[in-house]
Amino acid sequence: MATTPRSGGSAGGGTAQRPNGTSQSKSCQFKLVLLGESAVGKSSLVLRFVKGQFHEYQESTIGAAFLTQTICIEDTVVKFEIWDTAGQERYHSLAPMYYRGAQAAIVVYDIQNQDSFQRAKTWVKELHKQASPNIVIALAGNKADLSNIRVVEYEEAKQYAEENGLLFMETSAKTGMNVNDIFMAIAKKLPKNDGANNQGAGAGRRLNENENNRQTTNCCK
Amino acid sequence: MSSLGGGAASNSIPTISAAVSSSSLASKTSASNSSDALSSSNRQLLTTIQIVQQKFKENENVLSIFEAYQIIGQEHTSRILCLVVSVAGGTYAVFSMAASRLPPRSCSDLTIDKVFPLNESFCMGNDRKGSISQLQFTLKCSDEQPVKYFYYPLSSDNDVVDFDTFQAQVTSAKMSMVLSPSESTALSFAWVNDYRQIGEVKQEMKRREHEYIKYKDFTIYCATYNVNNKSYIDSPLHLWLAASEDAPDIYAIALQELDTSAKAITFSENRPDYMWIMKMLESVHDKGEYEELTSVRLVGMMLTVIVKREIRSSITRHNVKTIARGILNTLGNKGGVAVSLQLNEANLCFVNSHLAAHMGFVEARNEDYHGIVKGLVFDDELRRTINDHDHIFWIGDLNYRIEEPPGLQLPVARSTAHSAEILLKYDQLRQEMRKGNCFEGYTEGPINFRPTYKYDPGTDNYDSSEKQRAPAYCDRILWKGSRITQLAYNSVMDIRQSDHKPVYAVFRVSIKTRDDHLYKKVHEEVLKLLDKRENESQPQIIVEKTIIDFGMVRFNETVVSDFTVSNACPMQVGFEFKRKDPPLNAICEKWLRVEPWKEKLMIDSTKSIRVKLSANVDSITSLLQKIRTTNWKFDFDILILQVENGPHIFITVTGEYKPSCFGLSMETLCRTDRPLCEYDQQQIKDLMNDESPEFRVTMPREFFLLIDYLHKQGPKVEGAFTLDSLEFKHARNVEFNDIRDWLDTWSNNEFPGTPQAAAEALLMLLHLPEKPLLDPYVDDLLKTKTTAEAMELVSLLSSPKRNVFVHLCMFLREGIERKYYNGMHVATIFGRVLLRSTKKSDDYYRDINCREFMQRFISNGEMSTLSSSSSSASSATGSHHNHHRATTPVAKMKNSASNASLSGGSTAAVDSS
Ligand SMILES: Nc1nc2c(ncn2[C@@H]2O[C@H](COP(=O)(O)OP(=O)(O)OP(=O)(O)O)[C@@H](O)[C@H]2O)c(=O)[nH]1
Ligand SMILES: [Mg+2]
Repeated sequence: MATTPRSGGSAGGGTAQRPNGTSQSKSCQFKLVLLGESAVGKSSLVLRFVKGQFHEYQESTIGAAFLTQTICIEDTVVKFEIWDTAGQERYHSLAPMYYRGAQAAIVVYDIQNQDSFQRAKTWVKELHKQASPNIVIALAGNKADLSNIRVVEYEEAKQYAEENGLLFMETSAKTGMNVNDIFMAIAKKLPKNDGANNQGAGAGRRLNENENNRQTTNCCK
Repeated sequence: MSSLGGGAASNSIPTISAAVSSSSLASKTSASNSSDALSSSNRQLLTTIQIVQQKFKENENVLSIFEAYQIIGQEHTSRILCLVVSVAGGTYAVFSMAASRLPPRSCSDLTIDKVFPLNESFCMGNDRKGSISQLQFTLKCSDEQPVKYFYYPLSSDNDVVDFDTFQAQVTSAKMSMVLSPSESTALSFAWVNDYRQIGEVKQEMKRREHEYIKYKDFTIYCATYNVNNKSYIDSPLHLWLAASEDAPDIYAIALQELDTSAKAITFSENRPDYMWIMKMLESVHDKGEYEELTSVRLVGMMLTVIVKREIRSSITRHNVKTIARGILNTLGNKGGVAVSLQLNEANLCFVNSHLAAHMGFVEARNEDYHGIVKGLVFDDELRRTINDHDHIFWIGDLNYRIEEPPGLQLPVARSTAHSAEILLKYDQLRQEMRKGNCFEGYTEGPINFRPTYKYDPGTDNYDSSEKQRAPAYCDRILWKGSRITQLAYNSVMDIRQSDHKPVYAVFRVSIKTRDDHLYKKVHEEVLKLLDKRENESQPQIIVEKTIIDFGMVRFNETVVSDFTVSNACPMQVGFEFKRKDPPLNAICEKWLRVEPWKEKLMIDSTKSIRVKLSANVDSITSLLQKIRTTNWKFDFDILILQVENGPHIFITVTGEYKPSCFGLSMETLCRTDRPLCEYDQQQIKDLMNDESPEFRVTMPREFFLLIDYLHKQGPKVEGAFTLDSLEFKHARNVEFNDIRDWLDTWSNNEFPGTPQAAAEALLMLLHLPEKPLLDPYVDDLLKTKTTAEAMELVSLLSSPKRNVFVHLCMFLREGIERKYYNGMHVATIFGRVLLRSTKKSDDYYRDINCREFMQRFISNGEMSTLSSSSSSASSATGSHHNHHRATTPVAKMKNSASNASLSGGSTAAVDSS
């Protein structure tokens, strides 16, 4: 049936009631992955960021959980698809499956655990080698509420981050300190053109589909 | 693609038309053609399907609509389902819309609440059982729960098709996509997303509007003047346009009879008169800075909207439209011009109309009014009508007169003695409005001024011409909408150029305004809420255990473990084990089987998953490789249980592999100093990774034991090596594990099997290591032409491999010589084993090549060469073996092997030269 030509714009969906030129904000979707040794507080950071909660007895993650959280910066709506991974070393070999295609990563260590800081460094190395080349990496020195018994000095980590082009913050999932901020900082650093949007759309929950595509292309070669 | 979308669309039309009555079909075609058609036909005939169509973009066509309802809680909620094709995407989708009233009167009555793209997973189910469920059907696509709908057996609207028709159309739409498989471009459902994600946020924002909307007062100044064909009037217009105390925010200035010449009428003059606009800008309130927003003109009517500079940015949209109501409704001497604009969150409409003239034409004026209301549609994205605005100001020469009350002589209005109040009793407009014949819902403020028509130009005297026209309140300003307060309504007597007096009205309007700060806050909350919904709606599965510990796992034994998974959410949920990255490209390692690998769990249900592990001839090679290369603690595998649209759960399959000789390299075996049963996984891993050139024995004890046994069997070994030996049939029997233990314990007992089983064990010993015996020279060896050339390469092999090779050849040659087995067959199978290709390509010619290579070493003619090389190999030990030249190969071998094994660690460095 014939449609009536319209002048510009879409009348799509819920836009009907509020077509407002100025309020139309850009929206982007990014896949973000959390990496780091077990018990450094990856799940706790996600829980704080997404639900504003903290559990003293957070169970160790055995798998990978997917959560979404949207934030607004300036006029851009940034939707994060967050993959919280299992930090236990035995699951290390599965990590690439989760950081592949991610536009951002938060590598977490525990400021009272030197080993976890070393482990964070190897994660950063691995990401630089194997993740997508323009991945935005943030280093989070977690459990900053326990800074009186810290072993990893702020300056040391800060310098390491600078040398390696990482965002850096000390965070506390317990108090909430810098938790939103680190995600904000990442969102600010991520490119928010249309390309980024498309990239993100394929990731996340549709990880599976995405992979099938990738495999088909491999087969065709 | 366009052929698909377009073709299917036009195919479906006849089906739809058949279900629509001819009258509504006719109005549909006429109304949808263009806005011209709309303006002349009765707009109320806009059919439901056209209203639904307004929800979509230009190349998205509504093919048919269907009325249904959902039962949510205790409530029946109406839904309109429609089948829509995207011409660009070449794809179809069914949209479900909530309707605030049925049939909908405008597209704002409809909200899209669900979208079902007709992709592969789409399914429309109709379960015709039971009484109510007879009228029940479901729509479902991919990752979602089926949505249940009910329909009415009889529909109220002619536009709406019946269930069978709708189902048939949906089915054929889906089929058409399947039948015409994507040519060059892939079918795209991307367009559907515009209605899905964005919709939810917007809808929620709309619902919470009260939280961020506040009202801000604006002053709106409306003015009207029938200028009686004076193209430019040098009169004190500020008296008319700057009569308010404060500077208004918005002016809507309406003129009529700007130019009523035949020429202007015939050519539908529509260019705004800039002389006039300049004059207006000069005459507006001097306390504000103003600019023209827009002007619209049709022949004599012009409407100019002038706004204060400082509020210009608050106007986010403006459109204009004209409608002719003159002769045959085409001439523009009568009719209306209108401006639609959005100020903050409110939509405002200003209409300037010049309705039919003359005392007796009340009906015609009413008709003009209705014609404008129904026919004037702005070309904005929503195709707004006048009534689709929050605040409407109707300004103009409405031409309603003052009725002559019977019994009163002379035009009552002429007498200045009569107050406006009395005159207005006989005002046609007020009378008609009271009767509900026009301007429904409009308000007009009290009139405290004299009739504005008809004066002798230049004077304040009523018409003194022959016609002696009765004075009338032709020039009026009415409004409709909430939060409007009139501050002034007056005429200006001191402007005398026309036969009309100008009129103005000042309003205070509380404009719906978004508090940006609050809006941002609510917006974020809404986004978070939707995230929360999304996060919490993730299905959950409870897995009985995440670690499956098989304990001690032995070669060639299958172990089994079951675990349960239960649905932990109030809906059906699917799961499957996730396929791992290449090179594995499977859900689990070779040595595991997982069944079922994919399943659906009904509410409250539990399923059992079986994991089987077998380290056998098919998998031991890769298993040992994984043990050797795993840096961290070794696990047999980690399965990823992927909950559909939910989390991934890792299930670790662990245990300890009990080493056996099978699968270990000759080098590794030569590094052992005790039977393999005394090693554990870690020790064997270390041994596998040991790269030192030091060996404890010259050749593996296990190899020697088998060769020795076979040698002793004499003629009984007949037929031990056949072409199907590599199928390892004996290994499939449990008895074979006695042989495994016999070897792994260096047993002194009698061999616990047949010579055939021993032959197979020998082949397995040579076949199962990660690398073939002749690695890394396999390819080079195959290129050699002479045995001597080959022997040079053989001498470069590690000593365990070299010794095994030489002694194996001698042993085989002896058997062939004695006619125990077929030389051709032996060459074939050992060619395959010793020269096994590490690449996957199984080439027929390569197979022949390998066989011929082997034949050179095991056929009689080569005896001397081999013996000499063997002795040279042995001589490399620098020991007393040189004199063995005369002894039989096996006897000699027996010596060296047992010698080596007996001498143990102390004389291990047999190859140390
Ligand atoms: N004091 C303090 N404790 C924290 C903080 N963040 C996490 N924890 C605690 O540290 C423990 C481990 O936190 P998780 O969030 O489970 O750590 P994880 O990195 O997700 O660990 P895996 O899932 O095993 O990889 C929990 O007991 C948390 O309560 C923090 O900022 N301060
Ligand atoms: Mg965790």
